Amino acid sequence: MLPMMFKHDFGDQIRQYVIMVDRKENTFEVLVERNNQGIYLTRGWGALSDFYKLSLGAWVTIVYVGEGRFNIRLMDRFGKKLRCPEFSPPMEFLVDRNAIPVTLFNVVPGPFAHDELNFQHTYKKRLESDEMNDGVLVIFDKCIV
Amino acid sequence: MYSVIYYLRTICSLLIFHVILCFSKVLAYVGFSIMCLDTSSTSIKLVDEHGNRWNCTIQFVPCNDARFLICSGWNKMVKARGLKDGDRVVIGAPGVGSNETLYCIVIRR
Repeated sequence: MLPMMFKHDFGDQIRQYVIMVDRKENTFEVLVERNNQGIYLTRGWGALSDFYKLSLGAWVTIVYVGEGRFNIRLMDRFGKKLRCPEFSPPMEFLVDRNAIPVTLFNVVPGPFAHDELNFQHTYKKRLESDEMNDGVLVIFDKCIV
Repeated sequence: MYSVIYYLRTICSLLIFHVILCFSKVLAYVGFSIMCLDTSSTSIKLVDEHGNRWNCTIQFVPCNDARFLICSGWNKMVKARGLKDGDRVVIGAPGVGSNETLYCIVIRR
């Protein structure tokens, strides 16, 4: 949740999606949800903890630089800077824009979670080294002759 | 008499069907991919547990076992999320129809 002061000053500049940018130009698209109390960053926010392997007590400093963009800096709980993974081209995280939840003015939005209906059919797979190296995920079924 | 002929005809047609099935390798597929994916699809969207989408290409390989290859965006997701050998993925799809979106959950080792 972004502070009320921020909402008061910059709330009108924040649209439905914002972009977080780290020192290595990796970008994270995040969905913005609002209620009568503040601005919440929901869908896509969880990718940060996964990408930087954030642990309990880590700090994220976000600086608004305009046009819906935030610069982010990350530190562990002791204030030590965390290393940003470097990719060429920089990694770009985009959020799924389908089934955007409707936020009521008096309800606190929750973090993103899969809909159970999207897991009526499931396929479980243990990843092999080939799938890491070749960059190809194989989904196969048994057949009846 | 007619019932005997009808019975023999049915048996013969079943035998012929079985022979054709064996020689022409017409296979009946069962399972996740054939229920949830379209063999003519060329692109698919993978949505992970953070709500991020990964646009992937998909290719159907007709062979003894029905096989779909998910490429392109999968490679990007592996790098971005730091997936390792031994991690598990659960891929889900809604119950109805062929899908152009699959949902996934990564379970780390």
